[in-house]
Amino acid sequence: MDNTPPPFFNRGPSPFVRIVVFTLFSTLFMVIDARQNYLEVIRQGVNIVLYPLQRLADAPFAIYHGLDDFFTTQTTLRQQNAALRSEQLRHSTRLQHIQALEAENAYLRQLTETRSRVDPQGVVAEVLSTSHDPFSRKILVAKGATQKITPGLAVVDKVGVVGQVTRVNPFTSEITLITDKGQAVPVEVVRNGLRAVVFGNGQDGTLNLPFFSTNADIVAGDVLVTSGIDGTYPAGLPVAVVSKVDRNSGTSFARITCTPTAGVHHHKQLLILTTPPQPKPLEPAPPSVPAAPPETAENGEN
Amino acid sequence: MPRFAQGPELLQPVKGGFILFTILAGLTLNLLPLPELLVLARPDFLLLVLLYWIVYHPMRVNIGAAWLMGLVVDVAYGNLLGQYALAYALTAFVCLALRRRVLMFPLWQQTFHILPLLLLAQTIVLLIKLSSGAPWPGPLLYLSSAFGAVLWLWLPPLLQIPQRKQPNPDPQ
Repeated sequence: MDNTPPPFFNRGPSPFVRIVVFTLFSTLFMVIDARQNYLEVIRQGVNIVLYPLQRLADAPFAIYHGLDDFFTTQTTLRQQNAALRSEQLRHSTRLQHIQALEAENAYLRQLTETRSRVDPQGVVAEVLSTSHDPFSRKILVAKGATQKITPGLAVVDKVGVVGQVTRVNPFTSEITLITDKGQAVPVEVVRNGLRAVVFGNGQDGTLNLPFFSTNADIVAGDVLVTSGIDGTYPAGLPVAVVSKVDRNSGTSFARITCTPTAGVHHHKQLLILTTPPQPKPLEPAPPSVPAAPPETAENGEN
Repeated sequence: MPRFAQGPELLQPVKGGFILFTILAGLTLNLLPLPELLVLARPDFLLLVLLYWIVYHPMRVNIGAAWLMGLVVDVAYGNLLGQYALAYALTAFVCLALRRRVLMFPLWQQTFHILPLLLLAQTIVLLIKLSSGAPWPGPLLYLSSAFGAVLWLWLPPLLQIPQRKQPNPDPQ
């Protein structure tokens, strides 16, 4: 007797078979994605489909901000305008100073034959969403590969470093904040030029400054700026302020906590620095004429 | 009156387009740009919608669909691919095993079946994240499952609205 069910009862493979197959697939995906780049195609494809949904999810907030802007009273506008004018005046006087200083700096650098600093250019990007996942500190901005954004670019707001572009999709890009767990930024202390690397904690609003001995010259209130030695962040951007130094003589390192300067969650717009801070590595000095004789002399000695 | 019949009768079969629409709506709700504390406590709308379809129409939405949507969520959240896919697929499997039992209960008792399912999904993701070095985000995380289970009280009646309409007897 035939025991197979008629075709309209056919439900395909049993749930157990399905779950085994899909568990294997998930594990395979995790392993491949952690080590290789093969799955970027899937990411890009899904991201194109997701983009309208992300826009849709952002729409109510965008409309709210738009309405808020629209119904600003005239007094507020006038006050803002006046404040901005006075700020601009203050800035323009400083700018004149800076122009003179820049010229002087360029001249001095030419004299000492050091490489000139690059003036970074930026693209303003609108924040689409903050992190969806309570585990990671990443945000999504509405500028992508079509606007020539590439992974690795630094992202700043008006007061300091926000993070780094880590993944670029056609219309959006993902920025990993400096507060993300394990995210490192090379910094130096403004007061004494001490170099260090500051690490994200995975928590909002705190950074770690590890590997400082208990007697290191660092105090609460010290300002940390990027040192520029990693070639990712341009030098001199404010990163954090040291908030607490815990010198426990029982351990060999001080526990130093910092507060990031940039307020990441309070902005709707960020600046992506499109010029890499150091476009080309320092070229080795061309072999000068007097460099040759000592070598021959050395050979002669042998 | 049988205990599992709530409200007026279902008069129409469910449409494939409507299933897709509700799943995409759930995904969009998951993508709302919320402040950090709310992100922690936000229920997983997409998983709730998937669970509804698995309980009521397992022939249409099954483990495969849950896995696929999990993969989409992984991309949307910028995660390692496969974390949410694994969590959703395993939750869908358990839900499939429980579904006949769930249907026996009135809505408010169904929430006690949905709550462990949501907790299961969260715990799988949590374990994968913690094993890859992410920090523990705090116990507020589990509020998400609690809110999700409460939302279940309104979900089946809401998603059954199109089926309760009188079918048009004279389609053009």
